[in-house]
Amino acid sequence: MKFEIEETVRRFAAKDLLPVIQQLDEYKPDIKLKEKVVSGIKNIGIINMPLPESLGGIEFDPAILGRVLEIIAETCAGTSFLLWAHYAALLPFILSKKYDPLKKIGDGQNLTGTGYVSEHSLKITKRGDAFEVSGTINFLWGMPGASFFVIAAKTSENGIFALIPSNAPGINVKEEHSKIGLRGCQSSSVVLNGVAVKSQDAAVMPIAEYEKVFNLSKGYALCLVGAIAAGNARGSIIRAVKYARERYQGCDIIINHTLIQGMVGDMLARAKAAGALVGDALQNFQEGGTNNLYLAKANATREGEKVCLDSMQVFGGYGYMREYGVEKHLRDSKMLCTIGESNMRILQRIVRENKDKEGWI
Amino acid sequence: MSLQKKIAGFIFDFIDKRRGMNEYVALPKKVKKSFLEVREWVKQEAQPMVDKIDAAPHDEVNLKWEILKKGAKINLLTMMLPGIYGGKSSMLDLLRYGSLTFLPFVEELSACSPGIATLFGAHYLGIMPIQFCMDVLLGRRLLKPIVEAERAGNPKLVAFAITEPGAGSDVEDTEGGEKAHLGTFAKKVSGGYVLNGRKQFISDGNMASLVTVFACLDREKGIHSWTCFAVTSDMKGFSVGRVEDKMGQRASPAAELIFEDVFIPDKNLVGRENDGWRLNTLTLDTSRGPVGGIAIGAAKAALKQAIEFAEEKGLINDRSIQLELADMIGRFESARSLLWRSCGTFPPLEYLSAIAKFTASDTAMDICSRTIDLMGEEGGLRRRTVERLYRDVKLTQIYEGTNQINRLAVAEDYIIKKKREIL
Repeated sequence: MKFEIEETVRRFAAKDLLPVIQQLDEYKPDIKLKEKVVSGIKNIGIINMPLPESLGGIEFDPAILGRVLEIIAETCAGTSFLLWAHYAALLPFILSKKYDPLKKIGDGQNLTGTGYVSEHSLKITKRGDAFEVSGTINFLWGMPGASFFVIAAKTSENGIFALIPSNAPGINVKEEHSKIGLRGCQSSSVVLNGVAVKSQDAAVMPIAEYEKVFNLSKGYALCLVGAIAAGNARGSIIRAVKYARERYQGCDIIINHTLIQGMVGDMLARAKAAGALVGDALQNFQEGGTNNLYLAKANATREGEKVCLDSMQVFGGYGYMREYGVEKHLRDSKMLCTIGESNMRILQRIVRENKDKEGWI
Repeated sequence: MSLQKKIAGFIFDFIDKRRGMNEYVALPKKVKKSFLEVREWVKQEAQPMVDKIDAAPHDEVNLKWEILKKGAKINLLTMMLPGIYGGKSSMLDLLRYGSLTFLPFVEELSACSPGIATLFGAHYLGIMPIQFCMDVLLGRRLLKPIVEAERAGNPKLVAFAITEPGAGSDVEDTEGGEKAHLGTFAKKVSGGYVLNGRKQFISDGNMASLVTVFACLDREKGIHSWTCFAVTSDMKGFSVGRVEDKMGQRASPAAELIFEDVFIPDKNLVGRENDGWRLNTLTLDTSRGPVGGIAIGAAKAALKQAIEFAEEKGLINDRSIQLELADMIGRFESARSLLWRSCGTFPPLEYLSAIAKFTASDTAMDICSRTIDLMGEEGGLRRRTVERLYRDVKLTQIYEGTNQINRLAVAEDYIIKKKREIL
């Protein structure tokens, strides 16, 4: 099953995605093209994959989601990230097993955006059976374009994850961000002004449970960012090796130079080690643990950037030209480093939260 | 208090108050003065245009000419030329200060935009072979019109053309040149030479009216027969091919130049026949320092943004942030010191220029990257200009020889040729 999914995703990446990655990499890519790509993702049946069968999914398999994102990221990290935003949005409902709000997400809908992983300041108040949300989300991934987006907020008594239709009254979507990378996934700042959320569209839970679900969802989502970084790094190595096999420097093809062999070897070691830590963390998550989720993200994105920097060096001057595509991997890798919070903050958080636990090292 | 203590205290106070005041002490007064003029120009004229140029299509030239014309008003394209050619500098300055006089300018331009620094810097790179071949009459004939054009408000550019589709890093340094797949050749004919071939990634190439082109005279001898020619853009057979769509430094175009049976008169021979390789290495060794200056100028701007962001977000009292910033400052100042040392000698030391270039560009890349990290997702946004600096600085690790090639140049000088012993 896993093998079949991976093969299907590979075919999609090679056939449907590869020919359009340059257009997707414009500062503000054509929305119609993005819709076409999303429609391609829908056609191979991976959009609702993590949902239960009753909601049109297969089952929640943390490792396979990571593999799917990693494979797509080899070709286009931006598109992989667009899918990530959708998966990340679904996570709080899946992990808390409160599926009711997700019944709205049918095959005909666009993807769902994520508004809880990055910095946000939302205030939610109870209004009878419903809730009212106000505040700002600085980075709402998947917007504009998403049919729904997911937010997280707390009242004094409960924590709430809410699925909000993007056309609900009181929503002000600011101009789409112009970014260094991940341009295949749109993002924008969104202001919510007294947006009404019906109770059936929200997963409401006590604060303690909410905190647990929030941290699990964010940790797992960030680990998936690590998977994208590892895939993106591997994609850059594939391009560098292809170039080095074809082109000459001096009287020999580039890959035959010991300097390049050493560089590519180092890049492979970094990318594979980063991917392995992500794989370990996802496997552990599948078994109910939370080991290394944040560490895997910090490590994979940091190492991914180093790999992409070196991949460009293999190309020499050609690496700097957009036509060769390798510079896109670098820009995407840099943006991936910043997702959620800076890697330095993530590393500090890991130590802060675990310092008193036995055996965490 | 005794008189002795009072006098000593007065002198101590005087010295202590002068801390940091003499950053550019090694430079002549006229350079300091021009530098302040450039700083003001950057603020008034260049800064408002930077984002517009970065966002423009890669082959758009009007905005580039606009900034060049603005630069012409303060003689940015000729101020580094010796007075004998109409500039403000002198051959004596070059011998005494090396490319040090150039460093603060590129640093200042690059702090605003590394692309704009390259737009102006590549012009001087094109001039260097003409200046360094020591043929004053040739220099006056070729460079005086450049000075006059600038004074008239219609600046003209010079470009430097060595890179070829099959020979990039090969012709930058080390033994690569011996094995390079060279494809541009000149044949001696009556009254001149006929040039055929292509050059690639030539900074300012599509806008230049004069190009210093390096070509082989003898296929067998390869790089040993390399010779430099001054080609004007109006020569028959000269054309511009594709203009590259680059990741960054979009203020400076990189173009392909095509030479099809271009006749070059004898008088446009730069230096002597077969002197091309030596002229090329002298030019590159001299320009690597200023390339490091481009990198370090961008690093300075990124560092400034990092500090401002930390202050703006109330992070500045966090000791881990202080440590991060201090480390970035330490790397920045070390690389800058090395640059000043490397640029202060003429003729330059090959290994020192190479070390300064790769240290400065690696440092700048690291600082830009860490600044983005510090800012989180905001750092990747266009409105925070550090993302442009990150894209722009990457090129400094690639042009003038990739940093790997520059490291090999150090190995060659230090280990193989044993030009310097590690004490």
